[in-house]
Amino acid sequence: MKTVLSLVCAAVLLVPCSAAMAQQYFVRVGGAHISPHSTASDVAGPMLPPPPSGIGLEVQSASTLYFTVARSINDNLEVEFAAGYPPTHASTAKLSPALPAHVLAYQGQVLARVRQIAPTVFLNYKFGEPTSRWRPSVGLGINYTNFDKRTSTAAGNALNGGPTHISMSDSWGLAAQVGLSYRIDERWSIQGALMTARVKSRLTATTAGVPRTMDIRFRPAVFTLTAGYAF
Amino acid sequence: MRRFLGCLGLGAVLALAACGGSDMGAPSVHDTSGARGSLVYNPPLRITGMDAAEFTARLQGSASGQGLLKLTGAPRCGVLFHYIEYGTVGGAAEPTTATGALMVPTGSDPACAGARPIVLYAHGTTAERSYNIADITDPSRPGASEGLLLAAMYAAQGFVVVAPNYAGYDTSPLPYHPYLNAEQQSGEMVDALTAARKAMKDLGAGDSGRLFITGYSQGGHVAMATHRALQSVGQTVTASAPMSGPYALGAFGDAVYYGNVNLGSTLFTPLLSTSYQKAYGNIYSKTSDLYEAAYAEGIETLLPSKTGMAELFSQGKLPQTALFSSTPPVPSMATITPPTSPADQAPLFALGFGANHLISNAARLAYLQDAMANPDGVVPTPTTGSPAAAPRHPMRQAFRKNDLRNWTPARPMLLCGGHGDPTVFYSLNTQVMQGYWSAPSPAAAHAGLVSVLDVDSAPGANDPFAAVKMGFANAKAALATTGGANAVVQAYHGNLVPPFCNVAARAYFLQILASGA
Repeated sequence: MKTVLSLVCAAVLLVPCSAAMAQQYFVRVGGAHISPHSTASDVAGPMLPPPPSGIGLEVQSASTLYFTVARSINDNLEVEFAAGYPPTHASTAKLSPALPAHVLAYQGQVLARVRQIAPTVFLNYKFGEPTSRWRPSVGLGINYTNFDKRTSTAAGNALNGGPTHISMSDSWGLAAQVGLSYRIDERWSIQGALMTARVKSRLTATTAGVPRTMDIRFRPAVFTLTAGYAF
Repeated sequence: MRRFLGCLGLGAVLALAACGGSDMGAPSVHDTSGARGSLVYNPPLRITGMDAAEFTARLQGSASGQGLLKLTGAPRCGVLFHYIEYGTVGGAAEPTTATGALMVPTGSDPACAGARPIVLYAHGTTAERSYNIADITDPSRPGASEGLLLAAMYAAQGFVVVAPNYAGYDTSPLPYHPYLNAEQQSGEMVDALTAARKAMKDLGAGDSGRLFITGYSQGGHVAMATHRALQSVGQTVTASAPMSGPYALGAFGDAVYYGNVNLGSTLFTPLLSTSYQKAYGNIYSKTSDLYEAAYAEGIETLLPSKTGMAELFSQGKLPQTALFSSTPPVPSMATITPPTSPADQAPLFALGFGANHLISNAARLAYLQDAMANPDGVVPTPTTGSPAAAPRHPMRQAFRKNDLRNWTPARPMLLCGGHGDPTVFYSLNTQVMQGYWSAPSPAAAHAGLVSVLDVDSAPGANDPFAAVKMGFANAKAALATTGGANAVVQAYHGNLVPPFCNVAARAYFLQILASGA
């Protein structure tokens, strides 16, 4: 998947090299707060309570450094490549109250930490004129999410029954955003945006050779605030 | 431009992170050597853990658990249930792996902490390939009830329990099970024990060095063979308690072919034949040499089964009870097709004969001709008490090879069973071993070393097993009242005897521990 990501990067980042036209480029740097809004199926696999096992996960929020590179196509359309410094999310136990007390003791404890890389390409429509002070925008795009680091915590190992290796499948899905830009001058602007994406991943936790799986769906709400520079 | 370059720098960080893909599992050892007794995953998976109160509550939550509690007494210790995978071999010494349970007592009670004795347990015949004695998370899963019995009986009273699922079961890649192959099964028990001891070391579970071996039915045979194997290499066996096992396989096998067909024979026969065919290669040249054509195809891969016995019967893959044809192989064998005496057993034997039978008449005849020419020392007539000296029939040779009338225990042994057992005949196995190890037999054991308990008998004066016998009598009477005589026959071997023999085995082990012998 590294190849795919590199290709995406190349496609977007190499654009400046080949295009010597009047279109503008934008670089936006700021912060993002990611609320994953995850829903996970109960973990399934060998040697668990009968399905539904009552053992689930909830992926917690994280904040990170966020940046995008955009290139305008015309006065209203732009292509934007969005990325960020990969955030690490804590994942906490979500347990059915019917489970025995020694299992329920893990309720809310951090079982795993997962780091995600989620480059997204948007086609944005910006309302108003390039010279407008306020410009709302809407965007539709494609998100790719890779969970590149997954660690099971001591609590996760204890609940799983031993040292646990976690793997998570990659996800491709639609993404959308709404944004509002405030133009300071012809170079500088400030943007706020709220974005979401469809992210699905199958998590496999392997303990002493025994794999247990769960499907996690994310409907993330990502709020970003950036400073933009046009050139 | 400088900002843009900064972004490129971040882009590079992203790309690096993306290709990192590191897994961050905590340290654990994965032994892929496949060596005998190797522990594949260390630490092994801990399936669940309960303290004594939680375990008690769990047992009280079901009718079967409440019944078990009455027999075992309240748990003194908590129990950690571990799932072990170990390197072993199949019946032809082919390398494979198998899985099992390691149950470790926990808690501050002196009976639960510190160095504990080990109970090495061999389970009974099961048709279910997915049998996993370690998986007690769902009581409906195959193996769960036996696992809970072991946990309540032994682990919750301070014994470490090691109980292999056997090669060919659960996730073992072996495509058959080396059923009643004494060399493989005893070797596998030792492999499981070796692997479990490795796990215990790293889990901090103390080992007192006291080793008790027990098992039920098939596992009774395996337990006795394991005692023999460890004794032969000079390793410690503190005591053993084989229960309701087919120890004198040659005598038992001959009796079945003479028409004393036991309950469950259509399950045992393919398990045995496939096991010995894989180990010795001479049981048949094609399956139809032994089986009727309706069953011959695919029978080698039928068991252990992923579907369960009920479906095998309903799909016609195996007959329910008809092992032999009701037409005698030769007219002179009419009196044993089926036998009409003893009268109280005749109805049981008759179930073994009928239409759509499993074993061809030609195969039965060939077996019986050898049984008559080279008779066993017990069947059809008690003579030497020993196995046939030189059987010529390959199946009888295989039975002789796995017959346990060829050694004498040097450590205490309790043989437990019930004399009314319709599945593994008590007289032909438990009593034959008792005779074989009693004076004036040349294989006689030290006086008092081998004890025999028939749970289905009246308590004597100062009988140490009076409570067990009373309990069995009550359970049997209760079942007869609700289900009738037939229910007693059906449940006798698989349900009625096992808990009481286990209670007796535990009492026997505790007594030996207390005596310091």
